[in-house]
Amino acid sequence: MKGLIIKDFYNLRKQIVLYLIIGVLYSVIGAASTDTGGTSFTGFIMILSAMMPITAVSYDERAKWDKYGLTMPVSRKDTVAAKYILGLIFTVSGAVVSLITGFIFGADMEEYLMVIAVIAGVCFLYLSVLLPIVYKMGTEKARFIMIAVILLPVVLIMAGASYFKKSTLSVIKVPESDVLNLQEKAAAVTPSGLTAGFLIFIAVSIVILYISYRISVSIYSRKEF
Amino acid sequence: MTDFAIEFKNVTKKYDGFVLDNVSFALPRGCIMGLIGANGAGKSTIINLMLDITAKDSGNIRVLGCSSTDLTRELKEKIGVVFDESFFPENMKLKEVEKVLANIYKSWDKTAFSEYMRKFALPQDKVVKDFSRGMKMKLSIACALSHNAELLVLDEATSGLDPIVRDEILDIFLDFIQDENHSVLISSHITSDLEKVCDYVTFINEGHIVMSDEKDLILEKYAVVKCGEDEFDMLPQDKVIGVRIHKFGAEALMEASAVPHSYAIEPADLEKIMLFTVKRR
Repeated sequence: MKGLIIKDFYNLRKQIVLYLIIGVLYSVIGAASTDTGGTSFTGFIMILSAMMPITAVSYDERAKWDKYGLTMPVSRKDTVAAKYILGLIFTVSGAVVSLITGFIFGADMEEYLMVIAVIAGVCFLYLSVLLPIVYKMGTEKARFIMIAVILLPVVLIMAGASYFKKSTLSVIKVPESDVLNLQEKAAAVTPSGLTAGFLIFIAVSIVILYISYRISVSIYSRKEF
Repeated sequence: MTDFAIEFKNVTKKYDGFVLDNVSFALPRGCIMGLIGANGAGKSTIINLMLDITAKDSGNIRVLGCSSTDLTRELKEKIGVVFDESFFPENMKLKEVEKVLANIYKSWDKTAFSEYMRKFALPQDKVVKDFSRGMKMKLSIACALSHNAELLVLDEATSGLDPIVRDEILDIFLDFIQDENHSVLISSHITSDLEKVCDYVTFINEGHIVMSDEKDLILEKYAVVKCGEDEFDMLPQDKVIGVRIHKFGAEALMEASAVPHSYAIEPADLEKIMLFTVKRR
């Protein structure tokens, strides 16, 4: 399995360099900008990193590696596991790179850490959805679904937001006292409680990643080359 | 009981428009078997089934004494496979290919690999993408031979190579087989190559095994008869496998024992046997 991961690193090395440059650039912008929205740039490198296993699968497809690899002392399970481990390695390294640049450029580390933690969780969720699809349909056909998977949440949130703006907010006048109440409640959430929430989110996303791995293994086991 | 390196028993695999039908054959350890047949006859399917790259529908396949569906890691260490093209990632150099394989095969033999690299004169500084077809094939073969394999499986590995390289490679196989525990399965449609090195020949046509036996027995069994058309008509027709009638007479493949003494016969080679069997009358 170690050999498989080494192979993927050789395949991906050009992307790694490119993404590292882009990522550091974005992290710098993110960390240097004072408004909180700036931190979203930081996640860029991590999303890119999380996509690496998909790119690795497409390299394998192009070289028809799978057929060859299966003649070697690696099981189908190992072959799939290698891609998930690759995803973990890249997401964690993406997080580390983001953290380092954040630290260098003096970001609010506490907030920064949480943002990165959430993004890592989101990366795992994306991988959990995408890898089984890629194994089922191949990267070529899965591409459209990948775009949908990435865009759908964005579209939904935007649609939801505009819907609520139109209906709820304009019709129902929220009493000012309620708003104040909510603010108080939000303020009552302790930082430690928030951290716990983030940790649970990451833990859940890792569990989902594992379930996704099992699904991919069962898809891949039935594949013929 | 003979110890078989590969054993197929009543193996069936159905595809859309192609059936590998009830295939049985066995390769004894220490031997080279040639798998011959036209393109699309089912040679690659047999090899894919054997390595569990493709799932069989029914039947029994044993490789090195173990069922093909649960080949262990230890067993796969002992199998070296070469396909008709190289499947190495394109942007890797030799050193990197070796690094990957050395981390996959526990029994990777560094010395053997560098020995083959020298022997084949493969360039150290080029990426696999820039290798010629021959070089890629040589690399694949070197890899298959560099982890102490006991069974070598080659799927059309020599096609597309020039006669000199093919000869070099066949010599390597003969070398490999010196160890009586080693076995080789070669599929090819270049029958002359197989005739040079094989102990056994399995001939497959349209998903059926036409014959599977010791090469010498097969070659002895058949003969090519050349005669006039009138003379041909007098031959025992049920013993004629195939015939080609042309301007100057008839050329027929027959069971050698059934040819009357008055006829001129030539020994049949694998190519003739294949041709006449595929194009039955």
